[in-house]
Amino acid sequence: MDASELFNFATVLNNLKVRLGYGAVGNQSVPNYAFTSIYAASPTPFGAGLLASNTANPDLQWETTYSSNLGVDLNMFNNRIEFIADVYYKKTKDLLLLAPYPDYSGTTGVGATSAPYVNIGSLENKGLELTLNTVNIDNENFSWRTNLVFTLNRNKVLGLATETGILNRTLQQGSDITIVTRTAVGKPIGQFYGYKVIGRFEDATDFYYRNENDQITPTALPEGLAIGENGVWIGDYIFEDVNSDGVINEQDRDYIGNPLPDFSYGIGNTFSYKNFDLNVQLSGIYGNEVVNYQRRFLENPRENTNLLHTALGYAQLGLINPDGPTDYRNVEIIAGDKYMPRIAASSAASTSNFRYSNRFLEDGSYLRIQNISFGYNFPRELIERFGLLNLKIYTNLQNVYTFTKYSGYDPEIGSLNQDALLTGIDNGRYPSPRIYTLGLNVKF
Amino acid sequence: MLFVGFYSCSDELDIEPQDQIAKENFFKSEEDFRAATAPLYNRVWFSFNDKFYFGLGDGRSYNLYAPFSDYVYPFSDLTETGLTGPLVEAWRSLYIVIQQSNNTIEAINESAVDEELKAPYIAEARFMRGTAYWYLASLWGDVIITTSQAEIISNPIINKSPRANVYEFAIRDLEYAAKFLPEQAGQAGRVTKYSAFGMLSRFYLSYAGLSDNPNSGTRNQELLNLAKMAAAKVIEEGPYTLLDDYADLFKVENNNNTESMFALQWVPNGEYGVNNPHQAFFALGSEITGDDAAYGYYTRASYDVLKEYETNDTRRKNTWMADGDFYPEISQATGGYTVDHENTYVNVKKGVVGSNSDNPDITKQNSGLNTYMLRLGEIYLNYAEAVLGNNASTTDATALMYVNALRSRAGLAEKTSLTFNDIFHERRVELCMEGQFWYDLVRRSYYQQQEVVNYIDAQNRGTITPFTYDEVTNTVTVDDTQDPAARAVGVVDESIFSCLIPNLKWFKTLC
Repeated sequence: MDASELFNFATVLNNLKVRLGYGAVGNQSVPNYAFTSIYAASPTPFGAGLLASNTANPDLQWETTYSSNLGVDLNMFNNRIEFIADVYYKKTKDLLLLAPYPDYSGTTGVGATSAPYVNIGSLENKGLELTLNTVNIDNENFSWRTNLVFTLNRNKVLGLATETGILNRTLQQGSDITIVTRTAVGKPIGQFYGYKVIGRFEDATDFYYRNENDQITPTALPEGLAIGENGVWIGDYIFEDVNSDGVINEQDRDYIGNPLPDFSYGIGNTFSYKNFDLNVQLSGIYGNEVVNYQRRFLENPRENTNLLHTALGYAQLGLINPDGPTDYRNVEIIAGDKYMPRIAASSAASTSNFRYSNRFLEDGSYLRIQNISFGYNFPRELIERFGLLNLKIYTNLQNVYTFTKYSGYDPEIGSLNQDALLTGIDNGRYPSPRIYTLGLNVKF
Repeated sequence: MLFVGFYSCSDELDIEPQDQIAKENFFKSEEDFRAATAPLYNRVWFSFNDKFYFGLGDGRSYNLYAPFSDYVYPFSDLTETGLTGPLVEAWRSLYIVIQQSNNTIEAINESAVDEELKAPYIAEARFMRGTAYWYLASLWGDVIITTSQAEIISNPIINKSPRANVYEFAIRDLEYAAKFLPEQAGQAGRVTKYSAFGMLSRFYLSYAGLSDNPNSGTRNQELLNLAKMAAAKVIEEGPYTLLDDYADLFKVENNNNTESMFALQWVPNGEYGVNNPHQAFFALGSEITGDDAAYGYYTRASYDVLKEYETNDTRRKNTWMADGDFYPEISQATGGYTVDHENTYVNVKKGVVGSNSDNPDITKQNSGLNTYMLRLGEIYLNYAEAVLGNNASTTDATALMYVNALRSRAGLAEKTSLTFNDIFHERRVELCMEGQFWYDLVRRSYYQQQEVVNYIDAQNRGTITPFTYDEVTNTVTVDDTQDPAARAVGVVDESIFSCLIPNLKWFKTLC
């Protein structure tokens, strides 16, 4: 390479830095005195009583995250392109979590001690972060900058110190208590765990099939239900018999979805023309699944509460031969949404159809126009006469629009009760509002 | 480096909370012990009282018919599974009592107070624990016995113990309580040594029928004798006496009366967790409660239980309210409450007490009425049943005297001899809606299983019979103008006497 080529290279590349980092961070954000048994007052007719309110864990320790990262900073073309890339690996040990304990441990319910915090295992997070800032146009009157952010994270549980090696989280609605997520070694945290719907009983022949030995076998039915209007009938869901034991019960639950996104991204554009400036920010995530949990109750036409209008799409049944008997072989579906079950004739059948399954799983990807702000700076010459240094009028719009296929109010769901193991469960979460702001900035 | 080493094991590094009550700075005196055993009378029993007291005791035995209450109908329909929410909650609720009792016993044992002062308080906690274990043994049979919450936290997998061992454990707890509880309650409502003997008479009767042959037809005579002695001790030496009027038992102003031996102590106007929501579940309408917490329109007497009552039995009106019944203590401002609707259904009265204007201790969703867990009336019946024992009938004068005391209080004629069915019937009507009848059926199934299966079969839970009710004569008549409705119920066989243990996965590694 001769000197002139080297010189050209220097004007292209302004900065190239390679970074390597390593660190450890501790965390002890659990309630105070979790290591001992705290007593809380409870009224009684005998005077104030005192009852143990938490379960002590004298072995409790700090949680530590060890992280290492490798990054590259690149500036090119007179800093018109700035590119930052980071690859990281984080390992968390002695994870602090509320431990699950069996019902006979007396750690759930009114009057019970709360479950102890335990250093329950280890977790790894690894991923990639990319940032690209560009100055696209930079004239005297007009400039346009763009900034792009891309993040990808993969999470995996490395060890879990529970007896069974799994950690479940449940939701309770009235008397219905259901496990909604399961965290297990080798998988990401908080995976949705439930039944799988594989079809609907539409013909009499759906109740039987030929197995590997070519024998006619009955399709697995939910435990305790038989073919009949009060049991399993045309229009009810077919669930996957995961363990192939011929009956659908709690052992046929499996991992049905992942609340964690494949990647998340943000796009920002800033325009300025003379004294006007316009800033548009978009952000989105892609590839995550969410559970619209309330649909279990609001889409069941048998419930006697207010319902979603989609509940009207239930499968309507009619007799194939109007003079024939009401037998499952003489019944067909004549109308209704092709994914909805029939109105069950008994509460057992209704509970069966609306059990927690992938029926309530939806694609939670979204792209949201997060912020549009538009402002005008009054020219110096104009405002100096009034003794002002700076006068800006602006309007700010937040949460302008969301592009999504999710049928609930708002796909940006986060974690229920700030519990990371209950991420992606929409249990009637209050949607983010759209905020319009109009403002005036005055500097004296 | 040597310098640093001296400070690593200093006591100054052990922190005791200065602003909170922790185990280390509590349990230093008898007042502390009293404060520690007090919540064992209400808060720890809250979940059990809230739903399962009547859901299992009266729902599962089909005294109660509540087809829309999901903590009653799975039990009356015999369709619950190990995952049915209410069954899981019932199981949990009993272990809350057990673990908090364990915590209290452990803390008292570890405290520095004089040993003789500790015994009566440990006895109170063991009374509670033993009672909870009796419920567990009766409902589930083989259950987990645990005496330390801290041990479970470090080692959660525990084997189940066979039912007989659980009964023995409960009996042992109550025998300790009978030895160390005081003769007189320090505060009205606390249990005494005689409460423990009374509870023992029930436990001995329960356990007496258990053997390898559920159709043996006979009970263990030694246990029957123990039951008789325990009951006799309560009746003859204890401070308890029957109230003159059955209706007075269920009035808020009579909480902790002379017949009450162990009752859950709710706090009038108290917060959630120390309230008694029974009235909200049972009251027919808001005219009774004076507020909108009255969900009992469809919580009704079953056709089967209405057939039990004899014509003049005043206990019917005090347990169930029918069209035409008049209650002067409810809606006193308007001169009393008369039930007025079609005479085709009968709602719950026991537990329904009126509105805040009738008694200021009654507030929304909190009747303030203490929940009977044991009263003298039951001891009278326990005595009679223990005396009857394995005989076909008895004319024992004392047994007759006790049963007739209950009958004449109810306005009924006296009996001259007692058969098992007489006593069984008296128990059902005397203790109806006090969460007892299912346990009577269970303990009878230990030695007369087929008879009980037949009895429950004859209750015909799968058919809802339309009827009309005459409140004056306590007569229920089938209404031929209406068709009976069908209801999907489970199979009635010997499996109904032991519920499925919830959350089987914890036992997966053991089976």
